[in-house]
Amino acid sequence: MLCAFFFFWMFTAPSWAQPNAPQGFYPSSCRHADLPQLLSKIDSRLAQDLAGLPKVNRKFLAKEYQERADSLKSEILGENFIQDSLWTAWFQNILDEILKSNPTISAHDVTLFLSQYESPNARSVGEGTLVFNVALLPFLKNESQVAAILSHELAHFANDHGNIALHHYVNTLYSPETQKQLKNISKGKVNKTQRAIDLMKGMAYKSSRHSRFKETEADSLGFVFLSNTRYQLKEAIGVLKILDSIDQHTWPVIPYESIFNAPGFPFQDSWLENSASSGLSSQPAFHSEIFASDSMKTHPDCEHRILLAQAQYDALGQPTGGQLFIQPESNFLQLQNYAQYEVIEGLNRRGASGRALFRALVLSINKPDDSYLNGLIIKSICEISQSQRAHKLRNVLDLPDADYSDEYNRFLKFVNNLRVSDLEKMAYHYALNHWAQSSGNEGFVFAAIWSAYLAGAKESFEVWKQKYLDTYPNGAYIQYINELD
Amino acid sequence: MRKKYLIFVWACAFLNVLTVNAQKYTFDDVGNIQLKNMAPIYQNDIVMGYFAFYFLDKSSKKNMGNYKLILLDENLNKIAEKQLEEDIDMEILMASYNGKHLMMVFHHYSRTKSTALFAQYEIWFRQYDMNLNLLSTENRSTDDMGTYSFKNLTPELPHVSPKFVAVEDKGFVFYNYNYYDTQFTGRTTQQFFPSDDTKTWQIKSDKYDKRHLIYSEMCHNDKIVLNRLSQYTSDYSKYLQGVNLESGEILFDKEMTIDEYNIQIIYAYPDSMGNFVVVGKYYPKDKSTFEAKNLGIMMGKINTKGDFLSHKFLSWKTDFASKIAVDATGNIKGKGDIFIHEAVHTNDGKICLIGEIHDIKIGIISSDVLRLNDFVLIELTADAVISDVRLFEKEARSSKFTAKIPLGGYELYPNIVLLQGGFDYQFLRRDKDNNAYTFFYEKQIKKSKKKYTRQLGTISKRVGDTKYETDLISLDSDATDFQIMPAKYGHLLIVEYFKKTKKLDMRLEKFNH
Repeated sequence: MLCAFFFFWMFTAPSWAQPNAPQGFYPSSCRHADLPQLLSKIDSRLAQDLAGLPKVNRKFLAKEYQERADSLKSEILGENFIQDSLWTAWFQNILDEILKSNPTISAHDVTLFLSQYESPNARSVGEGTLVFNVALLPFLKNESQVAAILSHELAHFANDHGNIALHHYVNTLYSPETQKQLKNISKGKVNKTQRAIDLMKGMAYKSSRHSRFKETEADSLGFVFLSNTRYQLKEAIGVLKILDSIDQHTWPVIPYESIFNAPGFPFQDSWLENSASSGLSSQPAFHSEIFASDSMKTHPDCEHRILLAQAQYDALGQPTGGQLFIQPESNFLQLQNYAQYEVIEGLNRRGASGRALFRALVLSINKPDDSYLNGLIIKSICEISQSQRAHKLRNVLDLPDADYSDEYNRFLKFVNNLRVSDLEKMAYHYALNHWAQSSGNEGFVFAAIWSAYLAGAKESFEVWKQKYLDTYPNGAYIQYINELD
Repeated sequence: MRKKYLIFVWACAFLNVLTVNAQKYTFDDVGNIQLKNMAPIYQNDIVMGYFAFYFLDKSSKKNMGNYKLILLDENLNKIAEKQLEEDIDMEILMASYNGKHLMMVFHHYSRTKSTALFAQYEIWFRQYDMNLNLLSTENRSTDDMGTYSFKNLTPELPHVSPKFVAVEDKGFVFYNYNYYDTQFTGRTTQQFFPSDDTKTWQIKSDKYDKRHLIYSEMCHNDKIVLNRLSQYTSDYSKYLQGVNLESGEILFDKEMTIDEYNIQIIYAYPDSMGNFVVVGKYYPKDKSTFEAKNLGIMMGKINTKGDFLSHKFLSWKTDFASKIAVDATGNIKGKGDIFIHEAVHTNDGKICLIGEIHDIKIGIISSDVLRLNDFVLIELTADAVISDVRLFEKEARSSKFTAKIPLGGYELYPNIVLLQGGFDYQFLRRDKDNNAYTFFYEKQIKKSKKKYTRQLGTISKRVGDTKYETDLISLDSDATDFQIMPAKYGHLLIVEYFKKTKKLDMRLEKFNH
């Protein structure tokens, strides 16, 4: 029954949003009010693209275009994109400024989505859709840098880089020469794999799907786009410098003992011991930070691009100097702050409880009384414990990896050292510790009720449940709370 | 029997490319790679990682193939990979890590030396560094090794397999048994492969020494490796042998007896003084250890000459009877006899013995019936005082033997059941600091007349805890092929192969411990 409830909860629970909460962070809605129009726009753009396809390899090209459109629709239907006007209006204003200043761009075809994905990145899908991961925002210094990134992605679209790469891949794969070579390899009897790998080199279109194609060309045109706006052109160089060092980001050390020590459940040093790791894993082959593995840093040769951008700046110049902000700076700062929460919310929404918990713990170091974070910490621990009970822990929690940062690996080992009963008691005692500050938050109260249920704390469960029912008679979690009875 | 190979659509291993089309060639059409075998890499009992050995395709040389060897850490992260050109039938038998080097035993069927009656194999002992750079290789011909019995070499069954012992930073000791005839007369080879400049050595048992049929390492320190020898047809595991790790000199080879008792050593570990703590069952001397009923548990200490420095007998009759309802022969009324499967020591000096209660009814005409009952967990302190004995209740189940158990001694029956995999008990894992241990058992729940649902039960304890943690992991899967492998402590590796989608899914699952 408990497992059934858990999985029911995982897939049907509402967003962590609490529209009635009196204070704190409120996650944005990702439900599209104009969903039919949005899907229709993608379909009509697809139809237009398909109609314009050349005869050669048309079938294979059409399949790729179709897949691209389906993938985008799937992301939209999966509610991966933020729809809150606080966000969309701010970004749309920047996009409008660029489009208005650059009438050569087909503005009608451009759609901007803001995603909660954790990777600090932005991409051009290829048919006019741009995706900006809000995780990138905390790394940026001003609105001009956001504009520089959007200009770069618009340049990819304007120069049709996505479609060119797609056509290049399909036409290469289905060219008579490649087909002849593939046929020979296929019919051959020896060394087929190595021959295929050799042939495959340079054809990896899908692995670079997010338009890492002709980056310097996009830099250059993006620079021109930006130069036509009121934004400060020099920030295009500044943003490249930031991207160049984005993978040097380090996490603060999480003080687990001070966070989780409770009078009724004292912290145990053994939870932080590293007894599970072997000698093999202590010899990592890679050191890159996983959160930046798909970041813009992976665009080729940032240093070289910075030099080119500097030369272009020197040539173009910007007599007026430009503005760092066109919109109030406070809006930028507010969204920068919210971006970290949105990333956590996105992880939580997608069931990545371990990563959501880690980021929430990091953020809570300086915000120990944040009701949203406290609720999410409890909820994530409960989800991890229930996944472990169902032997599905790998669905919600990563394993340590040399690719991850030391602090994230430390977190993973900490959680892995905990027994199910430890996790459940930890969540409950954390709820007890934070009840006074956070019980005004609906999500927190629900998470506290769930933790009390799992820890077998009947009295707290009844008291907290009654509090919820009294305070939120039409609350978002009524159904789930009743399931716990 | 050839193994059923797990097949990847090889394109998945490299890049996502276009799917198959009937008219045009794609990379999917080029071929599949096959996962020939994958197994844990042990540093003695501890899983340090895994190797995966893939067959890519045939090479241009006759009877040769291209392979990819991938080294994974305990969390399934890739550490290194190497492309190899090897015999077309090559497999990796086992792998071990000694903190310095990796030893892998490759083997393949020998086309030239095999006959219609006897299969012959070529074996390579190769040491690698952690980047899979080859450091040394030694080929053993079948003329030297004899006809190789691979039946004994199943790393997944640590309680019955000879071990490939990794001696920390020094090298590896490999145990190998060769059949010579149908009378179970054979020869055991024990060979040391150094990881440094020290010399290799080899010990071959006397061809007519029947004790060597079951011959395996019990434990080692930095100077001595302690081996157990069993005489399959009469006495079971009552001989201990000590071998000097540097020279290969046999320091002692002794029958374990004290006063009027024979002792079957179950477990041993080195202490900090260079001696060995040993635990075993004891029997009256007038009968073989197969025929007699054991009288209890012996715990003691032996020195580097194999002499007892101290010992203590804990009898069922006096020492255990006050704690559980057991008679003088270890029989619990209404339930059956206690068969000790394994033991483990923890860093607080305690030793836990894991027993399973069983009752075998030998039918004169009808089938022999095995009834399995509860587990018995016995905890002894470093001073050989019984600190805890408890029954761990599990659902009793009966099963019939398809073949008659040969009439023999009292202890023979459970050993035959053990060899047939008839017990619920499966295996034991411990963490590398001896701070915790878990043993696994299989639980079958009858769903219908012929259908069972299977679960893997775990019973775990950490030092300092007073109660055992338990868990049940479902062994039912929709996969075409499903396998559970040992993993780092607290986890199991679940490997599932889905034929329809040609997908191989590997995941480490944590159990509650």
